[in-house]
Amino acid sequence: MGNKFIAGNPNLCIGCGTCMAACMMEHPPIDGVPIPRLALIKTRQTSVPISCHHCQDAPCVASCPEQALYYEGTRVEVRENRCIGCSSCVLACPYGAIEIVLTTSTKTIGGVVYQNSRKPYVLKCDLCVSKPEGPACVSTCLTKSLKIVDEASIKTSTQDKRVKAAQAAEIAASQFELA
Amino acid sequence: MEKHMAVCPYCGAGCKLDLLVQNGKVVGVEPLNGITNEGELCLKGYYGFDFINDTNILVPRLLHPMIRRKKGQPLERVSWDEALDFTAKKLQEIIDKYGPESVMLTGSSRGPGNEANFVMQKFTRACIGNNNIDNCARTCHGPSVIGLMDAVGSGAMSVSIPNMENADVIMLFGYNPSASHPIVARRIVKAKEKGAKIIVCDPRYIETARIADLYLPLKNGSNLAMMNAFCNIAVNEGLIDKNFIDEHVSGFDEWWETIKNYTPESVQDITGIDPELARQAVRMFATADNSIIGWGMGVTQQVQGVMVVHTIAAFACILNQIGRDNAGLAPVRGQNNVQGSCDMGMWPSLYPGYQKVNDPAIRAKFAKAWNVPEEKLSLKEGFKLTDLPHAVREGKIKAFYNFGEDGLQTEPDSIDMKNVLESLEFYISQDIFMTQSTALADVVLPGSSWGEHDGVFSASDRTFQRFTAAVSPPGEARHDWEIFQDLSTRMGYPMHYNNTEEIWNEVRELCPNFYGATYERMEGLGYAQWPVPKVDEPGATTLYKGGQFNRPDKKALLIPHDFKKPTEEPDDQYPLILCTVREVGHYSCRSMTGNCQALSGLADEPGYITMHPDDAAIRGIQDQQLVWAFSRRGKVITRADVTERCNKGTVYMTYQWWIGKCNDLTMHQTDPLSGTPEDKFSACQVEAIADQVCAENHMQDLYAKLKKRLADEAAPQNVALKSDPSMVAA
Repeated sequence: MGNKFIAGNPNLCIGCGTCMAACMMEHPPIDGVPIPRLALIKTRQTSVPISCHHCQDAPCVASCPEQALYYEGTRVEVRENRCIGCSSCVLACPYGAIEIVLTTSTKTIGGVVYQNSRKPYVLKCDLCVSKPEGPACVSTCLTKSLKIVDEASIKTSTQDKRVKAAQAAEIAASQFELA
Repeated sequence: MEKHMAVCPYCGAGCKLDLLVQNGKVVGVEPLNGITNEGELCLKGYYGFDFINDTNILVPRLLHPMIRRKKGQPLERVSWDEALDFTAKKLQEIIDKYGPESVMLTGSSRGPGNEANFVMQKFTRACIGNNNIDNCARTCHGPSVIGLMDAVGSGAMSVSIPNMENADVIMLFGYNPSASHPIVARRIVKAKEKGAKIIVCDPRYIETARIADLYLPLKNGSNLAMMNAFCNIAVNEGLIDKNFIDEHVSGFDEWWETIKNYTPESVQDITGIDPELARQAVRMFATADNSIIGWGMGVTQQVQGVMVVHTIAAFACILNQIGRDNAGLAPVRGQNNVQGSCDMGMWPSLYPGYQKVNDPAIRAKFAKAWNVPEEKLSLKEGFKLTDLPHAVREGKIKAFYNFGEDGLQTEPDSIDMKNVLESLEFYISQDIFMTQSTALADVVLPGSSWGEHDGVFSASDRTFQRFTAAVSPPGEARHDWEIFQDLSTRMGYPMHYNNTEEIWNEVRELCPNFYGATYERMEGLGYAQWPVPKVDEPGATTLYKGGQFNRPDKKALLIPHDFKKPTEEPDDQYPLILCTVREVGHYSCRSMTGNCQALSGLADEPGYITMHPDDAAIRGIQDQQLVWAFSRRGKVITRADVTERCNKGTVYMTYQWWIGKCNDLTMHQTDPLSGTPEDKFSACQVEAIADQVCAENHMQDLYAKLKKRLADEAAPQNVALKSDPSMVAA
């Protein structure tokens, strides 16, 4: 079972940020503030959203001393209650696809606040797993520059590339013979 | 869950969508398969709806009418009757004392729609008795309207948005569709996928430059030199269509007398463009079967805006790249209904349907239809919106009626604009939010929002589409056309429409080119593209087919102009060029999008000043730091966005920010032919701030104070009316 993740095509991306807005609104706000889990990155030549690749040997999972990050099938998931906010996963992730934000949690007894504590919250792509129609960024992208990549689509794409290579080999061979 | 069909209230792309309503509240949006959007929306379309629900993220909705009995006093909540009586009496006093010419009005190119604007201009012309009615096109595509009417006869796109994806070459000149019209940017991406060549002429490396086949980074303020050189190349390389020119174009010889001097070599110092690159671009555009040239504010918000539009039109005409479905002109309009405001005659020289106010026959037609003596309708062209500052200072305008615009945010030199609004004898503002401009008004009239009324919008490509109400207006807010007709009735010119369709049918009767656009035809996903003179015939996807231009002699006119430098060039004190641009996730003055959770969450104050890494480095500025930006007019705090997409020597600020307000820096210099401000070129300086923590606190403090001031200004509306004990405080 290969990994499943969202990949952007910079040739189609117009840098409008609809994916980020969709991501913000699809997930529950953090302390009342909606925050996106993918980042639209622009260099001079490229515009493309970056998000978690749900790697098969994920450095974030390996780096977490509390097993807050773990595999749910092929997906890298988070157990929020285990996170201690050490930022190891943030450092380990080669995509910069994880962020940790602090939320305020208030404990009360009989309506009286006895503790205001800050709790770390791991922000990363969850592939909109609770949404039956799939990731919101993919469905809202108006140029269809975002696609879900999974084992099946990788197989198809690999096969397509091999067929093209084979056709190219045939042309090369015929020209070699002519020469 | 209920679904109510609407058209997006943001850019001019005209995207169809459903508003999802639950328990009387709009809770979401679903895209519809409209003619221009094909089931897609951008972030504003998807997540720009919740302002309707009075989120109070930025400013409160206006719920009740308020008046300021005397200048300097706070606003006071009153009944509709009292507000309208007060307004009618004050306006009448000013008309009696100074004459009807002393009243100026501006329409709204945003949510209200065509019908409300039509009723407002009818009130202006038939009741007040002048042509002092304008709209925000003055600040944006005014030069396109004027320039194209001069050159080819109609001030609108000649091609349709859907057909843009079928062109063989698309040239973008001073137009950044990814930020201003993502749905149009999508068509350009599709065109590229289908094999089209893309040419981008822009000082900034805009998103589309990334997929361009040719990128021409012309210098800021060099448009006319560049366009003249394009025309020069077209003629000198024999690329022009002589037969087409002979049959369909006039003025060539005289025009060439000027254009012949503009070889690309002769203007290279001005444009910064390698002549060979310019030649490649012209060859690519000229030799393709079908080429479209699109332009935006980069062309129009310049001191030679109209002249560049004349020259763009000339370029398309001499090459015969016009008048076909996939070849022609694409000035894509910025606001959702700015095309509509122009269509409805929110223009000091034009009645609805582009009929001239100085034409006695046209006046007679309108006088008869509106049941007023001919002499009541003025033959004199009215004031332009950008005339307001000087006309107020000269004592020519005493009263101003603002409809859904926020000039203090969107007009240049806002510090001066504040003085202007404050020195008016009487100032009415009809809006849905307590904006900075409304906060200064003597009368505040709460209109209904998009989502709360029916109507027709005109998309940028002349497409009329209907939108419907999803929820009722909150509080005592009323439909805008009802407010205008009640005020007009009080002032002695009764109007009694029952619904928007009645108004629209009057528009159709008066405007031959709109006659075929019935409500019935525009039901659901239906639409009608003008000119559409007949009910049973399709509208015009494309203008000027067969080289038939909409000028009296049916020919296009070539109008030559010499290049002139921008007004305020950089110097030692202000060494950077300031160019104002647009934020993709926000709209106009931001009163709507700033009250939306997702959109304000994605981008908030103080916005950005975009600068080249070298310009940042020599000032000791790092990316994302707060900085001071200042000019001869003002000084604001903003945040540095340091990027290699920005050209050296120029900084760019989006005009949506109330704290990082670029219009505190811009100058009130206008194109004399259109009155459009030169927002794309003024001089400024940027300075690093050493104490960033202090700066962040200062910025947050300014923002919180501004929000509080506007909320306080609106607060009197929540006080129950004394005269009516049944009314309780909201």
